[in-house]
Amino acid sequence: MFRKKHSPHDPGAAGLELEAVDVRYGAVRVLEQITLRVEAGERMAVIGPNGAGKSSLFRACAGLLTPATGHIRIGGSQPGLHTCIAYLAQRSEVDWQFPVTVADAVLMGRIGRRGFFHRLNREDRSIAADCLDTVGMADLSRRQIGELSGGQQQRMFIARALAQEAGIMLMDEPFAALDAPAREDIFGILDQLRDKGVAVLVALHDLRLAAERFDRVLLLNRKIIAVGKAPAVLTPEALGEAYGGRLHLVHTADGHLVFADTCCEGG
Amino acid sequence: MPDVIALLAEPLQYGFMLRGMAAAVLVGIVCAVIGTFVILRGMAFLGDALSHAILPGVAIGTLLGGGRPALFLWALGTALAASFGIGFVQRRARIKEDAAIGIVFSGLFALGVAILSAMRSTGTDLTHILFGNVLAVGPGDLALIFLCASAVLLTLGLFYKELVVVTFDETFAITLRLPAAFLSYLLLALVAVTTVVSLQTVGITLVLALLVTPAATGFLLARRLPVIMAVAAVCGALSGVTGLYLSYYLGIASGAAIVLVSLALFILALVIAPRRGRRLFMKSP
Repeated sequence: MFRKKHSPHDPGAAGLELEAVDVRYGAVRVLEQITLRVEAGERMAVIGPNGAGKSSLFRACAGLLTPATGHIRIGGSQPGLHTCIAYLAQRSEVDWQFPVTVADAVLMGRIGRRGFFHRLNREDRSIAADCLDTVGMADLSRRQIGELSGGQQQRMFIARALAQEAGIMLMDEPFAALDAPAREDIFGILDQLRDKGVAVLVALHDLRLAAERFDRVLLLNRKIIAVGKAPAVLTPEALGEAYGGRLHLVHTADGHLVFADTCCEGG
Repeated sequence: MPDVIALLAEPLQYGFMLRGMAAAVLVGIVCAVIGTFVILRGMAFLGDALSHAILPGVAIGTLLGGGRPALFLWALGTALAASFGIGFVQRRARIKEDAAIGIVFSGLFALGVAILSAMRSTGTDLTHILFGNVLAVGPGDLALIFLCASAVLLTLGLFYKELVVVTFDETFAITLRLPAAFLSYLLLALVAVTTVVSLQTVGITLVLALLVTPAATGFLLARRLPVIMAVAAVCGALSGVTGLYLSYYLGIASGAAIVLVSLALFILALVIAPRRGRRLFMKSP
């Protein structure tokens, strides 16, 4: 009743596939002709200036926005039929004063698997506990969510996505306002996710992290400017095209590029 | 000690007091439990608007006759229609949501007052609708209140985990492929039914207090949602009973007495847990 069953994946299909996708808000086109294929276990950085459409891309992939034209397929069928795709929104979008514990919040990931009128059972609780253990937060399970640090909040989101049995995770600026140790904790978990075959797309601002820690980089500004291995994507031409005047490129003596995103957000 | 027992027992020899107590307890509990969701979703203004919007329904019901059950159904129908109207405005409207709610529901309230004032001769007492009269609850009314309160709590129980998720994080609920719009409308419908059930005890103008005050007390004293609901329900029931005793001995209007007791409990909780009180009031919407 009311609930769409999770659609089985077509074995030959890619984890996530976009074909000529346009997304519009009213008359404004926020994404144009996006064609992209992401395989299981792949880790992709999504970079671009503010307003480039990174969040819109993720929201469309998660089935939260419907493309005006084009197709998005998860395991061969449309996102709205899947519960295996997790969208980890920016932390500022969540009400952290909500009266639930960390364990409660992670357990919510199981609801998609149980359906209406079925209580969550011991198996669900044990899965949720394992997921918290995976992100190294087993000892924090009884905390109120409002008492977590930024890095812990992000790891709790990942645990919730694991409890949801997500095969694809779309993380919107997970590193914003995190210090280096908290960031490294998350990369440690991302390594484990790769072993499990979870595809991870991460929107971020730090071009150096994107270059060094990801399999591929997607440079986005409404359209795909470039996609591929970091050295091929992060060229002065492509970056200039994506960021326009907002990015300063400086050539240093040893031939390296120094770039600075002059825009407002941290991370 | 026997004096206290005599004081407590004396009003209970009257059937109308017993029925009033039962009604006040039922309403106190159901309002408190639904009220926790009202607070979490920032729907307090909406709850107030909804209770006022019922007035034209009550007026038309009175105009057409048919007794209490018919009046109840008219009120319920109006409340449901109004709540779905609100839901539609919330999801679609281009003007600011609170402005839209204010415009529509003060308008409906005015319509209700207009209809009632035009039919003064029928003897309908506007003050009973506005402020309630729990002591006038008849056996049939009590049965209706019991049925509706049970239905609300049962529905809430059946959809509890989904309602919590959609309240906490609607985006996440949609990626779990839960019917978020349906759940939001369901919650509005539950608020509507709860409001109608509360009309006889506290009246249109004070329903909001029963929805919000005991629930807020729950937020001050507990940290997990099920416990918050339990604390709120106890506060709601206690306010109902204590309020009626105060009403009996001090001659205060019953609805006002109930609300004042619930406010006293809230202030007490604020004194006991002042740190959390700050958090409640500073909570982001």
